[in-house]
Amino acid sequence: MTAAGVTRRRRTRMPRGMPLLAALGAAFLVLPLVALVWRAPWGELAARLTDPTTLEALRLSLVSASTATALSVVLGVPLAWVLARAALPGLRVLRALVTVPLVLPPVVGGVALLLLLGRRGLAGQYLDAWFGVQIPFTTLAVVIAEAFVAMPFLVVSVEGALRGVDRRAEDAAATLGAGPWYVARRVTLPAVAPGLAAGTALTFARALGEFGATITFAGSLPGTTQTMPLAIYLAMQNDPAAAIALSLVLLATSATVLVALRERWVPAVRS
Amino acid sequence: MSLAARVAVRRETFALDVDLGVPDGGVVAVLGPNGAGKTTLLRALAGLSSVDEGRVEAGGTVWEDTASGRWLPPERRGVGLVFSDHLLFGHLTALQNVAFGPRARGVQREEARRRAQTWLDKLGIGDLAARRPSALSGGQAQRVALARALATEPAVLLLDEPLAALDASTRVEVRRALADVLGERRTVCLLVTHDPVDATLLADRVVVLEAGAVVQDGTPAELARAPRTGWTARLLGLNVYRGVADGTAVALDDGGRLVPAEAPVGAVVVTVAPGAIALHAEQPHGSPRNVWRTHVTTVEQAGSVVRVGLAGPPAALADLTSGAAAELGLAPGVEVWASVKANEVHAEPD
Repeated sequence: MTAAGVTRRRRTRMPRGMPLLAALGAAFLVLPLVALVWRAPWGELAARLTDPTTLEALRLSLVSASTATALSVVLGVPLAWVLARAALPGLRVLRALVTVPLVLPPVVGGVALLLLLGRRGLAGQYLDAWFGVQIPFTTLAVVIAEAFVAMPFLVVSVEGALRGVDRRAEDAAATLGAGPWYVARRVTLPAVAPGLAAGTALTFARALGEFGATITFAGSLPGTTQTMPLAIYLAMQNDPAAAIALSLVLLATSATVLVALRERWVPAVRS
Repeated sequence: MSLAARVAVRRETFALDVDLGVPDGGVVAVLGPNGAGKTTLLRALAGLSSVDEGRVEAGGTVWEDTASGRWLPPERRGVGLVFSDHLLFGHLTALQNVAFGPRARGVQREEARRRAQTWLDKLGIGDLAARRPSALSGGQAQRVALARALATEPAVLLLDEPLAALDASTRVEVRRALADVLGERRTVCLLVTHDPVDATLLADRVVVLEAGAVVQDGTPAELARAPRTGWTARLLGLNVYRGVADGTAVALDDGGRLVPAEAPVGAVVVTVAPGAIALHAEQPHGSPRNVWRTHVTTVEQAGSVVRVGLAGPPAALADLTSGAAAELGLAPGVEVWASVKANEVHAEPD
């Protein structure tokens, strides 16, 4: 038998039972979505979706998730940059701390935000006393809660992309006359564009689905803080058909965002 | 655009201390084993890594002086830097890559593009302007990288093994393009290389670095004739000739002719390793296709071998064991017969 023959057999040989477990795994992830689509009230869907409360929740969700994503990009990219590039003592501790929200239950995040920015919070009491500003239970609170939970996704993926950049390309750019900001804009950011795009998509998806931190820190006021996930949860109590319709919208929105980002970025990066 | 530099870098496990002066238009090959500090030297000159002590002055401008605390960042020094892997910006076309430098220095877009096109044309790749780096061959990409570095008209061009990643035939092409642009410019060039042919054909001076210090400094011919260390002897000393081949033999430009195993037709570069040349007291008989009578010009001990200079034509360096050299009574002026087999003579199109 040739060496190539051996390799080919090795490649396709899997432990017995592995494909079966893989099929179960795939079914576990796909079947719930199938059920959602299957049981959707297709006949009355149009009416459900043009309902003003639904549109209001959808609008609020899109606006707050977009704003939270923008905030995450503006603050998260520099943070990832420092984590990837700076030579500071304690950087490892900082990296661990800023990724805590990834593993922290979102409800706990909401409580933590209240303790910082609530009316009696560490910083919130001064905001209230000095400027008369109260953040909890406002749309701003929704944005903050979403960004708190979602930004680590952006930081982690951009930091990884930055570590993969060949620093010598930046060195070459510097010798060509480019100052640090010019190098960052024209060489480094384009080089990490795929990682940034992936991070942005993940961040947006995470922000769009945020529930626990939002309901804790911002409450569920229709038109102000009641985003789609909150609306779905409430609808599920008394009008399951409405909840299914809303869920479909959220599913379609998330899928559209992911597909759009892939179409926009992945082919351009491959070429 | 002369360069005067003293660069001392001290790291935990490594120290570099080099004093270097290069006149207008000088091309210096920097040779040395891995870890000798060649790349550190280039990075220090470019301002990309810190210098513990020293002073760098180029084209009348002080780039760095640790005594006065003066330090210009890389973007304000006039340096061009080319690596063995071209490191072009993948999201830009060849033209945009070359226009990057002028644009970064504030040149208007149209003017920058025009200059970039001129440089691409000069390097014979004007028709590839719209391609992305991923659609370029290794040799083409390296020429774009060279054009990119030259487009800012640097006072000092730093080439870090620019031909090392190319295959043999591409290497010849890019080397010729490099020789052309270096020949016509007053730019100072430092060329880090492992290839004695590059050093011999491109540089007018060779600096050998070992363990962070210059161990030898001179013209390629001087170093080849009297290498100070075994390392230098192994690296330098390859006999390189230019000539014209007629299909069987090569008439060398500087006199004499050599018969290679395979001869193309037209202009060629011929190389013969010094160890392949045998010396005899009497005219040798038998198989060697190349036999010529000449006298010895120099005899130098280099490591374990004796390096003998032959007047020619063709002039050559030959390596012998100490025993063989003693047996032949070699000394300057002694007449000998030199021979080399045809299959030790390599001819490549120039």
